[in-house]
Amino acid sequence: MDAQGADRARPYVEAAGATFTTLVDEGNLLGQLYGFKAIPNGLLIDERGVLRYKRLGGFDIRRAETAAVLDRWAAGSDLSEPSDQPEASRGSNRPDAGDLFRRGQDLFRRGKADEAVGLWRRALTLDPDNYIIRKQVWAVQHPERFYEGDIDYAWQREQMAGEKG
Amino acid sequence: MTVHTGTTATVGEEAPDFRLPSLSGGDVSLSGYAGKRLVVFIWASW
Repeated sequence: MDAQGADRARPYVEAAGATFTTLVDEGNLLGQLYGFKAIPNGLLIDERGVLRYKRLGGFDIRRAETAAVLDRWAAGSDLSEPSDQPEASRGSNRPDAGDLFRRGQDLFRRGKADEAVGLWRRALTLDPDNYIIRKQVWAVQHPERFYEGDIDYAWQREQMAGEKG
Repeated sequence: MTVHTGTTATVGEEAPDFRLPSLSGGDVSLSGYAGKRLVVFIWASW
């Protein structure tokens, strides 16, 4: 889910030694199709293309619940019972905000980061709960909070209080 | 790019198809995995 593109994502994939296929969704297509505005999310899809499980927010192999679901999926379960969903992570993406996001992304790719951030900020006024967009703005404007050592979540909470207050 | 503005994916129904560029080159579509059980993990660098 990186509007900054493949080069931003690749080091993480290589560091993890990931052997699975990794796709780059710069324009938040999956957020529109699957109804999320934040990450990390998980989808389990069966042999016939039926969605069997959708977890929006908190899909993390370090969590016992996520690990248990994946174990059952690998063992052949169809996971037919409903899964719980944290309310904060889901939500339909506003098309007008999505259009601004993608227009900003085009500018960013052409080296116009300031203009891109301007459009992304406008998108946030339309869709303030969209963390796909908000975190993209932060990562572009304050890369030191994301890409030098661990991600600074305390700083993010301060930003959130200031921007949404 | 396909843009949905209505309801989104529901458990128990067909997963909406998508096609996106792969890190290793070329595009990859969900429908290309028919016949396999998939785990799709959605993450970002931030």
